[in-house]
Amino acid sequence: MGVQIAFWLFAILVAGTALYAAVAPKIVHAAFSLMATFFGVAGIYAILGSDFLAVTQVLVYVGGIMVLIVFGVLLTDRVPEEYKVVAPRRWLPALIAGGLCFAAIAGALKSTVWPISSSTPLGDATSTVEGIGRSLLTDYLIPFEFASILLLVVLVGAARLARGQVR
Amino acid sequence: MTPFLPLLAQETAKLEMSSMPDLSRMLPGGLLCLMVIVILVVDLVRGKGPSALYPKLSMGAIAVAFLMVLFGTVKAGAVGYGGFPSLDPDALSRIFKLVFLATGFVTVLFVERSRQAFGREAEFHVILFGALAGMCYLASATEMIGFYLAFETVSYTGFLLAGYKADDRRGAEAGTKFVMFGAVSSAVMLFGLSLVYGFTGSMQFAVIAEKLAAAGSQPALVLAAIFVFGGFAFKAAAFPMQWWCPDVYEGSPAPVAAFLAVASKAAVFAAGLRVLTYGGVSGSAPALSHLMGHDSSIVQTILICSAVATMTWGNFAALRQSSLQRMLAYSSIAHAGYLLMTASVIGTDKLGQEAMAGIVFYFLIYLVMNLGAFYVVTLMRRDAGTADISALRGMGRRHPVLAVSFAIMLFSLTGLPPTAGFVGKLQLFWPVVAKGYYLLAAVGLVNGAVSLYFYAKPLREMFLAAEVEGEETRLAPDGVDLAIVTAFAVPLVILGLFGWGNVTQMAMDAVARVP
Repeated sequence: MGVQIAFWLFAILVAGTALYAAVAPKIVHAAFSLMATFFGVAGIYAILGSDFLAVTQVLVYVGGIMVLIVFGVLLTDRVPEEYKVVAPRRWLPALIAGGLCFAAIAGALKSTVWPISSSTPLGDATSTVEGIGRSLLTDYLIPFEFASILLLVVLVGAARLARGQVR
Repeated sequence: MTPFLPLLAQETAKLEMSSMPDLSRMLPGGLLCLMVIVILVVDLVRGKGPSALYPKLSMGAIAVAFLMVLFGTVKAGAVGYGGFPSLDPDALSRIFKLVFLATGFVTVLFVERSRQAFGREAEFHVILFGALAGMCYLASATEMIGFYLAFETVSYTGFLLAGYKADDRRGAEAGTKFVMFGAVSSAVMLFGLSLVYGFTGSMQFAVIAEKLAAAGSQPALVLAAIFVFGGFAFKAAAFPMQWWCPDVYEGSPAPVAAFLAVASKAAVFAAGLRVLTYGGVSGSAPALSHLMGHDSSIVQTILICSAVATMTWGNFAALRQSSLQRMLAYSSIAHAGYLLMTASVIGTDKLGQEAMAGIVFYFLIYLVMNLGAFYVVTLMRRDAGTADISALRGMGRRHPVLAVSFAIMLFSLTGLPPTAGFVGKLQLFWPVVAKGYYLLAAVGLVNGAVSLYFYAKPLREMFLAAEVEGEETRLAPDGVDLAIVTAFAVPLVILGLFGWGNVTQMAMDAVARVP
């Protein structure tokens, strides 16, 4: 019962702040609203027993991505005022399209017979950290190593784009 | 269905040296990853910025990797830690790797020939090797995490290459549009993959194929199929995710557009062929293509609808174009449509295998004709400073070798005999007709006829249009340019006349899985 209440609280937090992020009149407001969304998602992960995922969500999204977005807003201050307003001008078509997508996805998920397991990601362990670490360095060793190549290449590319062409 | 154990509760292999993956089977890909680091270190040690050394280094390394793939033996079974199937360097991935590496080599060559300064920057080559490594991984990945990582690597490096000249306004626009569409389509695909994982509880394609076949039709799986297709459609520039393609190809440097049009597209089709037929050809597990009931599978319906929309949109939109680079972008969309049309008859039967071989064969031909055509665009941008078709006016008289070679490429892209493009189209259409999808094949044929009109436009400019005094074509190809163009045109005729039997056999061997 407590879990149910917690879930609905977090769910309302996520949906509400995400909606505000989409319709907020100022980008900064939208950004801070999104921060609350990320926290709410972390809460849902925690309820589901994914402790590591919840902490990572806070660290990466709230700590990293959020700061990046705020910096982006601050550094592009020369943008004319009218572009900063993200208020929905055509909210009715957006509402209809979004509603239809929601109905289709919700309907499909609801009417599917899911193979439900009673076990949580934790299993018998007290924390998922060990299992994730083990998986990354055994079964998923190759993708894990490849991720470093991906990050390296993207880092080099981002630096190149930020610096501009060598003259 | 029995409840499954989540990912983390699965038994993992013991932590010992004998569980290490067989690295010798990943050597070509490993070399590509190593080159990313080598070029960075060379740049760091030299500390002098751009140099003619990097293109040479790149071409050398790509050539070595190409030979390693070409002469390496193909063994059965997947590679991974302790037998976990991370990737499968089989015959199918081998032939696609050859396509990626050949395209990468040619791209570096084109950038050098275009005399654009960025081709000598170390960063360009780092990104290119990252892209090639991602493509090679994508073509052989057999579980979802590696598949997604490789997919994103190909996407991100594509964004970086397309926006490489970001100080140029059109380059910046190309890069930004590509990122926006890429981010949305990745999110959509990831949601689809998460549904598949939620339903099957496994990342491995083999297990997923089995569980999906046992599950039958479920609404969430239909949704997943649509969403995952969205991700594939983005990279293949297929409807409804093709909108970025013309702007990106036009805004990118011509050699980069060539790389995206051939290698990127081949990579996503390589992954698509694997996903569609996983475990099906060898008969061990049911094919994913049959996951929602047999002949009227939802995957097939999606493929057919997208194929029809893609080729029709690509061909009709190409009619109005006056820029050759933009026209080739629409042409590449149309070609994705033809390939999807044939992909819709892929299956475990003999006809399905012929369809797969047809797609592989077409990529081998497409590589030659499309890269050749993009080289002409590279020359136009270099010498005339524009990709407008009118810049070709009078070329038939002034540079007959270049004009005739380009004409052969255009004939081949249209699919006219006696070029290799004709044989390729034949192999794409044959399985569709043999399966009895006459309407689909008819739509394809009508599209082919429409494409004749816009491919003829450059021909008219080159051979028929009268030159205006003082406005002669500014193209000034030197001996090397002519040699390159001829090297792309001659194989098209040879393959179209008598050499195609060998290539067809190559394609058939590639799709017949190693026993």
